[in-house]
Amino acid sequence: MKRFRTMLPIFAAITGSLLALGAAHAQEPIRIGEINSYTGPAAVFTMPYRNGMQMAVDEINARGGVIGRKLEVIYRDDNFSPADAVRLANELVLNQKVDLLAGTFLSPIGLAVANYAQEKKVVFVAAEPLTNQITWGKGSRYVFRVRNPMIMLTSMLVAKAATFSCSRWAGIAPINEAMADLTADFKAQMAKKRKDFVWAGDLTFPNQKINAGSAIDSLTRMKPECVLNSTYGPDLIAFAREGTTRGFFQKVQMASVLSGEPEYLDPLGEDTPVGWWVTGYAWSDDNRAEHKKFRDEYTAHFKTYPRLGSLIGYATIQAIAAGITRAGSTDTEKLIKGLRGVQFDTPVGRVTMRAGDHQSTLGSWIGQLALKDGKGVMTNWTWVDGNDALPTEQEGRALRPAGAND
Amino acid sequence: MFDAAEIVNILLNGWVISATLFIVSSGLSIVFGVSRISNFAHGSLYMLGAYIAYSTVHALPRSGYSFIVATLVTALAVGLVGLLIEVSIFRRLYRVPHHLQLIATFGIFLIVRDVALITWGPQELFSPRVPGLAGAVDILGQAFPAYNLVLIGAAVVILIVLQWVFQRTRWGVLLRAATQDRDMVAALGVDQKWLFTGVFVLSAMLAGLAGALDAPRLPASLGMDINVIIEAFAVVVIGGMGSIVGCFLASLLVGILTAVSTIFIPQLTLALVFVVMALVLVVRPQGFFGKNAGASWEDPGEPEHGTHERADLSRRGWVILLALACLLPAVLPAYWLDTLIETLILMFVAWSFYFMAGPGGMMSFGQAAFFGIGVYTPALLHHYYGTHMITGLVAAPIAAGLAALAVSWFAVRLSGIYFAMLTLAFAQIVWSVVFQWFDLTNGELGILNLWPDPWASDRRVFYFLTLTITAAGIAALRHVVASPFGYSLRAGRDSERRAEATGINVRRQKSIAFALAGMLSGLAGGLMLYLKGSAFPSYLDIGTSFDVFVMALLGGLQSLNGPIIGAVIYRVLKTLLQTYVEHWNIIMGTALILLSLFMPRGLSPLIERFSARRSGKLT
Repeated sequence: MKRFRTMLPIFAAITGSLLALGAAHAQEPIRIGEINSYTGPAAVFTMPYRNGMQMAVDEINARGGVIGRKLEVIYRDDNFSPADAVRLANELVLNQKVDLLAGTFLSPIGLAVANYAQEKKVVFVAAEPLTNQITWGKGSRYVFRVRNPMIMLTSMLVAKAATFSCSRWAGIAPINEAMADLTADFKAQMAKKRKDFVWAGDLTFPNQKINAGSAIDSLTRMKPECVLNSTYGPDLIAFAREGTTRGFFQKVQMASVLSGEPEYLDPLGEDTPVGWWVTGYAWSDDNRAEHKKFRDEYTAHFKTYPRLGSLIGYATIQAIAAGITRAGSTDTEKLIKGLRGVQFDTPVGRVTMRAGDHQSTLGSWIGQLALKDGKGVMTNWTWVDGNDALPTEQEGRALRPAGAND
Repeated sequence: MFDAAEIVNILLNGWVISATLFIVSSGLSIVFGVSRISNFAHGSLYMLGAYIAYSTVHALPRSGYSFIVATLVTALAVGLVGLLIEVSIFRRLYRVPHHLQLIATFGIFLIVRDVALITWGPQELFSPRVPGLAGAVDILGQAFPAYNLVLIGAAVVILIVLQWVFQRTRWGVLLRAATQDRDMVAALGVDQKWLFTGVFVLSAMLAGLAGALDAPRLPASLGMDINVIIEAFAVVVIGGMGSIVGCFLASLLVGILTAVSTIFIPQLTLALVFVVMALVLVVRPQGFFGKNAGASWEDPGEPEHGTHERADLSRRGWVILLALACLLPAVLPAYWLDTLIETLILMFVAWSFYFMAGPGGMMSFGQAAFFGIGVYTPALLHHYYGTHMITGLVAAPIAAGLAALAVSWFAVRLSGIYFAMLTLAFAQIVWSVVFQWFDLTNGELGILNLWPDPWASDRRVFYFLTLTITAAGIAALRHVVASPFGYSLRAGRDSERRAEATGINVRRQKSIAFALAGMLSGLAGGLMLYLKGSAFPSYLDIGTSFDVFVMALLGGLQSLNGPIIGAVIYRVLKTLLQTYVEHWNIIMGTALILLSLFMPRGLSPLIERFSARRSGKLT
């Protein structure tokens, strides 16, 4: 009993400080748990992405935050592994008590975190994964995506490729789900647009392990007039140089996904294959006022120009902030309602997070590769609004599993 | 269907692939031949070569001479890096047990990767085309890049030079002598120290040269190290350890197979190399041209002072520990409970691996295969047949155990590095199948949404389930180690011939131990699946094998509690570093190197000393 009495002040102190903590809660920052591949080969994407994200957070906090609270982003490196990403998501949710999850770049990691978010009933705003599945086939109430899905890029390419003079196509792609989807959708859409469309064959290879010489040999044997390229990263670089050296690109017309994004285009340098039609990011040429402002501020702050990742990181934070403001709370159920159909401003215009399928209407660029001062750039580009190139909200909604729209 | 020109073209493409692969592998091979170290960091030197070549070429005016200068400068620079590594780390490694050598070189691998990221940034860097060699030449009507002919030529020149050095110079003769019998060379008064340093520098220069030669063909990127080292290991094994000619022919074989499979069976390109490697190991373990150099790899090291703990916990101690473990869910926050479950599972894998590697003397590089089969079996059963958790947890060890039994039939005939390489090949084959057979396994997307049955969905229930299985499994293995079977296993490890002479069927004992270890790793894999709710190919990759290897052996080969201590420390260290430190690879790598160099008996002696002091015993 005596011991209890001596302990009493300690209990009182603990209770008191807990109460004080509760009172301080209103001023606590909103915590966003951000998972991405910050080390290893994908770091080239995630550093500009993180910069863009931080820029948006700083701007919002300078204005006083959202719903009276500052934003705080807690970054975690997923080590390029879906298994690690799930572990870190768990750490962020249970240990860091984040209000929502965000981020991811690779599709498998995005899907893994999405599955976790669904199981644990946490909101997850997927930033960069391209897979169609994340908002549609495997969509859920808890998952929203900012970047355009692969099928939108496919439709943009098809619109251009259908105007090519050639009709006999072949494809070169690393073996993965997103690129398999791209090829399948491309074939289906092209067949509808061009009666004379012929598919000569696929050349596939393990990701990051292309043997460019053998690949071009094999493609040549299919005798295509035009080629759909879905290689990226180191594979694209080796393919572009070997193809130029072997005179392959003089014989075919090329349509290529992603290659116009500075992340993939810049390392090509003088090897930039001129004339390819690509989806990408015309960062240097797109002089719309808001975008120019974003580019200038970003460049001044980070001493380098923005990459596509910077734009997406920036837009992701805007989407989250707008969703929380609309919800007036970070409570998961309210936040889902807040994010559904929320409109937010980005450097490339106003974007809607569609209520029906949790897909944002962020647009993209399509254009032709050219060389300027030894660097690859996009020319003849057009900006395509998401509303014009995405499947409609009704179509998207129909693809989602039962319960994803409750 | 194929005319002569096309066949020639396919062969030439294969030869190009093989050219730099040969130069890299030859370096790995000679270091192995002389020092018996499987240098896991050799691919990192190749990667450094590519980056340094890029920087050097850009610092020089653009001409064909610059390319030659840059290539030579790179080879010398990487040679210098090799010198530093040899003098500071490798020199101390030659006398430590083999498993620690491997752990230390893995530490170097981690450090180099982060250093490259810090120095050159994450973007791929592509050296410019070589002036004068930018175009293509016409070979039987097909355009063939002129530079590729340089690569083919360089490989042949290196082959001739290395042959000359090894056959005609005094240094080469000493090297060959050291390859055959290190101790005899030392007894004859040759200063081994500088011989070894020389070999290591030569090997580093070869890696750097290969990186520099590849720089105008492949962009320098951060994944180069791991890609090349796995293939180089395969080439060295196929060609025969320490044989330069064997290395050349093996890389040619791998190159041509890769070129052919790119065209005909792209789904198999990853697995094919390892299938060939496994076949060679089964049919002719010493490779095409290797002499059976395995003997010195198997020296058992310091004689074992029994596997008994001097400071093992008493029975009462274990009971108290278990009781404490039972109380933990009441006090631990949810996240730490999850971490604890994961640590328990890792302890279990580490222990099953230790059982095979310690008392069994079988150092596998591919335990991830069985762990991964344990993850994937229930996942696939659920995916296709809708089975529940209990069925899954029964099926996981059965499938993994059967796979291990099948592999053991081939593996126990081999020992030392050959055994390790066969297990690596098997693990890589399983990994490639899971990774590339999209229709069956969903490939890199993995199989998602597998959670425990409702009765075990409460984390505390799942914790007790894991605790029960893990504790029972480890207790059973400890019991086996102390049983007659355990003693005969150790007898077979320490002296196969003597054990055979006393009537022990060593191969059968090893087979059983291997299968048992595989089975229990599979059970642990099953638990991991239901903890995480998903199956990914990364559970099967070489990184996982390495994690298991480190956890099991960090604690020390002689300690029954080593795997437990190792799993806890490794997991906690990795979790904390990965969560809070940006360049965590450097710290992890340094820690691994220091542990290997300065604590050759692992971490457990520290703890033994601590508990000995507590109980007042001084040993």
